[in-house]
Amino acid sequence: MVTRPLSEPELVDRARRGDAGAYEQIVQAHADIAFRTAYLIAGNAADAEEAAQDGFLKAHRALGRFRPGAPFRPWLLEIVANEARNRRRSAGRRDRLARLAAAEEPRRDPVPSPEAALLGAEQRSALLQAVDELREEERLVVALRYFLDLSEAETAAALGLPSGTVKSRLARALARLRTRTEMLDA
Amino acid sequence: MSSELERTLRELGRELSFPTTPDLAALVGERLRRRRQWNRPLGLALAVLAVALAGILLVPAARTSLLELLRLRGATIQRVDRLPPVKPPGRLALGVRVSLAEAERRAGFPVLHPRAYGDPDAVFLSEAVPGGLVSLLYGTEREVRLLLSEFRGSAAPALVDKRLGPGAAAVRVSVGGDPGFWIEGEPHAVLFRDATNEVREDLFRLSARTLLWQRGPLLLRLESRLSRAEAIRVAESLR
Repeated sequence: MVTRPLSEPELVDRARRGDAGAYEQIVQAHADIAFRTAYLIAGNAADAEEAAQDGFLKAHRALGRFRPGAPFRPWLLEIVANEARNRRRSAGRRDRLARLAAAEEPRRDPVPSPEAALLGAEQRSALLQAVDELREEERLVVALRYFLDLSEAETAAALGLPSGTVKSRLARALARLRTRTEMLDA
Repeated sequence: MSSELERTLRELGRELSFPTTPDLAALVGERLRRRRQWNRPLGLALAVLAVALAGILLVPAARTSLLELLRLRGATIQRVDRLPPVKPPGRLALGVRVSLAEAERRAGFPVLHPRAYGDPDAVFLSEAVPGGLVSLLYGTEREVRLLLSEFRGSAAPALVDKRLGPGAAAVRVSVGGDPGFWIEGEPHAVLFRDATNEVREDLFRLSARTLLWQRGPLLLRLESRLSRAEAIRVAESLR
């Protein structure tokens, strides 16, 4: 017998009807992006873990309100990000992004893209530091949109902002980063 | 269209080493299963509770709105907006008076007691809870200095519904590393769910300060006028 993996709408449907295994598969599929989103917002791994767990549980409870067929990820990220923000307020301190710079030279694709080839270790850490030094609201929008590669809609959902605000913040942040990196290059 | 800077940032993002993602599927799955285990007895307990309140305590079930749930392995504390009358301390229905050895023999578990206070002034055994509920009384029934209750939820996780009035507060505490709650303020009534799935009501309670905690297979309750720190010290001294 040939079985095919269930599609996400099918899994969501099963989870709504009480299939815990189906929900675990959904969690598995989104664990990384949920945890990393929570990490960038909360600023540390312990809070991020809690926020992601609680977010997934809240989403599970709210499955009845989820519109069938709608994209699941932005909806989930909104819930997880909200949990992360609640923890962020009380915690205060956050890890700097520079911590995330890979200790070793990252493994390259056999045929590196021109940017990657050009981007040496020094430039990478300089750029990361420049992002770190952005104002919180701009740093987050850059980190979610580019580092996690969230769509504009997902970034907006996660930050609880209209997408117009995300757009304008991104534009401002990019301009600032450009100035900063050009200064460094000069 | 994306600029070179945007492409570079994406590239950089892929190279970042984020902290390892925890096994969220397992963690969430486990919590879901635990919640389901709890929901079934809790739903039934609430139904029985409503009937019990309407019939015995003359409090309309509708007034018993569930405000909050705090979880302790074997016990669930419900905060309710209306507290039924609690029988006055003059009618402590503690069961039959037995010796400590007799209580241990019949309950089938070693009864813990605070060494610092010596032997209890009276020991009671109630069969209302299968497996037996042992109460150690220090002082007299009219003037209780300290009352320690112990029971075991052996076959299935026991459920204890602790009903709190609006003036009562429950705080999470640790008793020598074991999870517990410190409850202070208004008097409170206690409902036990035993292994046979029956809800039993503990009609008496003192309007005192209560420390409720789990130690191994036992659920313990210490009622006194002691401060929180003192009560926890006494609880930690149980042998």
